Amino acid sequence: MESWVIVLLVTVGYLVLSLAVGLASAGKASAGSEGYVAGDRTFGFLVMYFVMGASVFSAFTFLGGPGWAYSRGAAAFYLLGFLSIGLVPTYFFGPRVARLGRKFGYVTQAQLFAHRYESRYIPPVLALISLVAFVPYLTLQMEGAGYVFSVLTEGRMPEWAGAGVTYGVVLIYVFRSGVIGVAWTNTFQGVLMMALAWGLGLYLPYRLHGGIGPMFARLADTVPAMLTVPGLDAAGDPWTWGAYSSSVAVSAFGFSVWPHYFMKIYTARSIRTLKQTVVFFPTFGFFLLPIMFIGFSGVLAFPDVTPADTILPTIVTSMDLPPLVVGLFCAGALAASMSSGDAIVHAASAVVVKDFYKVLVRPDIDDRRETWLIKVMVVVIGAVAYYFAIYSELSLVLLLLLSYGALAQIFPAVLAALYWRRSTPAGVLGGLLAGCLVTLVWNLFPALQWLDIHPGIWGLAVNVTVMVVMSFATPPMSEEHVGTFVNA
Amino acid sequence: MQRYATRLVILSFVVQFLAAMWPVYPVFNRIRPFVFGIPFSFFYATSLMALSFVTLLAFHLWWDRSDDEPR
Repeated sequence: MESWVIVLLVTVGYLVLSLAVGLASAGKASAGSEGYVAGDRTFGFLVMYFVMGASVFSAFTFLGGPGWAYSRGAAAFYLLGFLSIGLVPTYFFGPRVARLGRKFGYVTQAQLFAHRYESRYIPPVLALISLVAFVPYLTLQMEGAGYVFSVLTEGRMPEWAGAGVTYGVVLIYVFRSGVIGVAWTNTFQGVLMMALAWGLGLYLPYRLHGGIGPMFARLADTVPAMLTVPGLDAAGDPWTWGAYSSSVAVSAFGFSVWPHYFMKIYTARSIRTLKQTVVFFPTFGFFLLPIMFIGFSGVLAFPDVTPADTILPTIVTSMDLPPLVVGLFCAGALAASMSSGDAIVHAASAVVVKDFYKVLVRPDIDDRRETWLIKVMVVVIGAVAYYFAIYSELSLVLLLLLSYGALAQIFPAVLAALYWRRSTPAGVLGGLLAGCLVTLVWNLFPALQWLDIHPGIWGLAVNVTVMVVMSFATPPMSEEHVGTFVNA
Repeated sequence: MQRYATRLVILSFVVQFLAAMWPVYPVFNRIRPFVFGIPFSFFYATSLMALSFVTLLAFHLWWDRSDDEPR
């Protein structure tokens, strides 16, 4: 049998297994939207751990992580910088969110804001910010999946077919099983990814350089600039401390409030489970070490690979590895893409229906119809992202850059909602809009980027200022109402 | 006691956050000595992650008595 056939069989086997795991969980939650979106708030520690962890380790990490280390060296350490503390705020505000969610039946982030600020306008704004971030992110996951298939079949299977098959599987289990399907498959995919990353991350440096120590020693002699922060920029010139530090800061601020992580707070069985998940989250971050070893191992052994994100598949396919190992690599890369893609398509659909449609168009919609609509949106959003991934020539890079800055703007609003009694609807909405606008303008006009500081930082500064000023300029909300949230 | 411990741990995370960027990182930003085979700058970033884990774990296990179950 030709080796690419074995590789393909292993990969298809993985897809079938993912589908089986995703479908086996169907019917484990109640039929309404609380079951479909929040899993009836029953997730235990192990499942929560993998849901949070595997959602982070996306196609970006698995292909982009080695790509960064390969082409930009120590710049990639910024991932460690924000992952180590990014989820820590959830330890402190998460229990309040979980208690309020249980008490008032929230399943999305914006429902908390709508209630706290008695506002019809905040949810659609949050929904829009979420969509701007989610669609390009999902598109990237699909492109990653398509690419894996195309490489492993040596071009016999085009990218559109690879992405189509992979995301066909994802849409089926998300459609049928909702968040429970996401949770179970992420657990399976998470274990596979970890095993594979450590396996390849230790094996490749050993095979190519005789070990991790000798590999870095050689790099230190030949390209020392790659081993000290801030590393290199995308063009291969030295990166700046301003860009490095502010990227860490924006990612850290935004991390705990990404709507698809935030929504998982509602799925925890208890406060203790939620806290344990946050405590152990950085252990998932150690998975980035082998990912970076892989990238560093390619610097001297495989110079001039472009685009840099293809360094891992390039190494794997050019090293004469047994087809079974190559197949497992492909399965792992697909697992990375799918475990983020499923959580995102699920969260995006819930957000569109609950925070946009229900708030602005049909407040009286019943729960059965609402759940059905969310399922339809899963397919619609999947199709939109697929269109962008395969047919559109439009570059999503700007949208993606923008989304990190825009999502970080939600962080001050979350703190205000849960800790600052005097904050008012006008203050929070004004802050959000002003912060996003500044982030957008600063992205569009790079000349404004003093010291290469990330646009999101300027957005946050304006956001907080506007929020404070407008809150004091508008009448306070009733003490009793505010107390429900601040004392939760 | 609980309040004091919470404030202390939050302060420690602010310090860890600042330690991951300029101007603290440059102090530890060197290639040698290698630790466990990786450059010192890489080891420093990894240590911060380990420190964050240990800090929150210790707080969770020993000092945080605020709410073990939903009210």
